[in-house]
Amino acid sequence: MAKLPNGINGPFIGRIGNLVFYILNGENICREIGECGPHNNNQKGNSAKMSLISPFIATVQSFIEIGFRATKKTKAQSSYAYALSVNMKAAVTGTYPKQKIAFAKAKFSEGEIAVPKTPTAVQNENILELRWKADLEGLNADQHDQIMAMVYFPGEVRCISLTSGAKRTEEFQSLQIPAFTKKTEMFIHMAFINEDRTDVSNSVFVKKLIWNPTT
Amino acid sequence: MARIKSGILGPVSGAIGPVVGAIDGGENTLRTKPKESAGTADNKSLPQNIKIPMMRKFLKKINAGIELGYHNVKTNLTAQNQAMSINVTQAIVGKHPNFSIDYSKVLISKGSREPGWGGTLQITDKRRITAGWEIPQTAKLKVIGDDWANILCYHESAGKAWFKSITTRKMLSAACKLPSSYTAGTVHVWLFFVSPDGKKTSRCDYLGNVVLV
Repeated sequence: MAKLPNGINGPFIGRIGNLVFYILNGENICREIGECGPHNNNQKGNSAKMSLISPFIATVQSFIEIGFRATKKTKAQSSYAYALSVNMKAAVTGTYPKQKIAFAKAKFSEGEIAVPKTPTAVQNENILELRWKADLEGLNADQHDQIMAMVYFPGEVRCISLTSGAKRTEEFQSLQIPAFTKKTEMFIHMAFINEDRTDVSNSVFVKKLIWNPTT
Repeated sequence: MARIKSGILGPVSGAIGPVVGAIDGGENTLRTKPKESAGTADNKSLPQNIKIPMMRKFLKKINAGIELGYHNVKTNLTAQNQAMSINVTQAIVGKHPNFSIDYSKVLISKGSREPGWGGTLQITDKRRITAGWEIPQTAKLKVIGDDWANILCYHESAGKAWFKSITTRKMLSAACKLPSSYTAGTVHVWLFFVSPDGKKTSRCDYLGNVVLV
């Protein structure tokens, strides 16, 4: 014997005219959609923020998946969604329609480990030299913590990242920068990750450098 | 538009009162009957009525690259429609009604695979082009080394495209001969990578253009 809980045509999913159909708790629901008026500036501004930040977060996704893994999030929220939310508030500046991303304020990780102390970045031809102080007295700092580095190139919408670099006590990490054919800005951020990968530090902005192919 | 799942009577096709049934992309759908357009003949001069056909004509010519380049993007749109959606916004420049395509901004592929870095393009006397790229230090060579490098060439004035999967990423360069049908003119070249299992694609890299004499 067969049962037809959703009628002989099966459930409808989607919108027809001003009715929308979906399945809620196993039941096929239909409701009317009200009329939607023109968006106000706040709504347009929010849409514009999302359009601005989404390609940026998508580019750095592999890094932020690790950077926000240990952060307390709501049950359904992924690291990607959390990173979007945090950076929409922290890194998008200006008011609609003149909004832009302040890459120096972007956040790539969040955690309880002590952050890199006095981080510096120096460009030596195509090698980036990253330095920091070990700061083993810092909260939750451990000699086995490893450096994480994010170098973001806004003009290219690309990044290079390192998620398991030199140990905290080594105080130095070098990164080879790929060659570009024109002047390119790069924003450098650093963080630490602990040995068992259960926690990270907050990311810190180190410096903005310009790759100049003539140097 | 509503989708009918598991209907015992099978798909609905045609108009029933205010709704129309159809099979769209393999799915049984119902949508409201379209109304007559309120537009006038002046609509033809609207920017999108110039931009969309212009971009559509170009994308059809490079279809082989588009089908592979947008193959792995998770969306209900076809590869051509995805490419149209992105490129009509970002790759068409100029003021209405004098639009043109900025080939350096055309995106023929999209994905999360490691892109090409430091792309270079050279041409020899015998119409042979060599594309070069780098693998950054931070990339996992074991994972991406066997990705297939795909090159798309487009002859602007002839409107002819040539597309080939040439070599693996770890080779760091690929050489190929342009088709003999390519006469004098400008040829634009793009590069993108696809994982060996075909499931991941990189964002494309515009390598530049070469002028054939």
